[in-house]
Amino acid sequence: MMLRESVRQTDVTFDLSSLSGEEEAAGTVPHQELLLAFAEAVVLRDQESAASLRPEMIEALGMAGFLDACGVIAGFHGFTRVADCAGVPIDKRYLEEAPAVQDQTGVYRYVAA
Amino acid sequence: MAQNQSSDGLLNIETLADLRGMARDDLLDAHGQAWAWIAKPGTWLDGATRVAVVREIRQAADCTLCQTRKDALSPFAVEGAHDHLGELDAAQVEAIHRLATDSGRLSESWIDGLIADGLSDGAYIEIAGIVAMTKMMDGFSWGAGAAIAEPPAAEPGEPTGYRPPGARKDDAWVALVAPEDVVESDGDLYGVMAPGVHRALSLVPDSKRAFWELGEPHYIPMTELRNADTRVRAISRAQIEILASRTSALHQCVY
Repeated sequence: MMLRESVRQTDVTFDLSSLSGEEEAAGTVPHQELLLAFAEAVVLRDQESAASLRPEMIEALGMAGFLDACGVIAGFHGFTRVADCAGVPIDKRYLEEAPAVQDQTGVYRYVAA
Repeated sequence: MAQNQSSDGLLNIETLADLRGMARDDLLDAHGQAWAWIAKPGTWLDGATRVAVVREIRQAADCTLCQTRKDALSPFAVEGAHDHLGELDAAQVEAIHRLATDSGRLSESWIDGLIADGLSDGAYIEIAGIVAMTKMMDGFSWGAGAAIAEPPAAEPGEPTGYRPPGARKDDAWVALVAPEDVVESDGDLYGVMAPGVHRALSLVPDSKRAFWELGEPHYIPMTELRNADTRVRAISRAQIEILASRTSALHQCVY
């Protein structure tokens, strides 16, 4: 939901269906393909991919940007588990958009890592 | 801890301490504070048990039953025993392994089963908080190419046993504390907002606070949450949300 809000309110575009990882990312967020690939490598603990992507991440984002990216990915290792552990319902303000976002992102197709 | 050392040698680091001066101080400090908090007696678990939970979380990555369940269409279709360290009881092990390896497919009936097997709802939430915090810290280390940290030695003492008097089970799977039900003895439970994900650990207020004190430095301050163009990090908000969305999708989190 926050990705959708961010691209709405800034001068970039991003197709949420790109999050499925099944096709090339459609949008104008700088380094979007690299970000998607690195996030996947970390979640799936893909040593080989992570090792090859770290230099690209640092080159693209700088050291501070790379480490902030690591922080975000790591943060959502925790936020997702907290959200899922108690079965908290989606916040009312997001309910209307939730089915469309879930469909676009293909979230139900994944197997948890 | 060679298993997690940077395989590319790019950062020339071995532990998170080597990132001092490169990563934000608030993020690295939050890791230290979180480990210290985990080692102390909690609300329902003593320090030794909490540190044992951390060891079991890491053990779950090598559990054959967890891997088989993760590959199955439904985790409930697979019977068996976990490969565990033998430090915790069966309900605690089941909770830790599922939360650590397959959190996107939990259910209310599964939690009810844990409670029927003797795990209190408060202990379950305390364990969930430790799993989430450990996975967060280990995930950062792994991403940066550093070794995962060893938890500090457990501190002696008894759990507090505090249960918020306003906690009630409503539309979630466990009892939560709604903002209007917070009482003074709960301490400062909610700040500027209380979305569902902030309420999830509220049955154990200390766990809720500790989790978010660790979480915010990894993501963005809650005061910036509604600012879709915030520049508080070295990457843009859109880049932050691409990483967040991809990670959440891979975890099958539909929240």
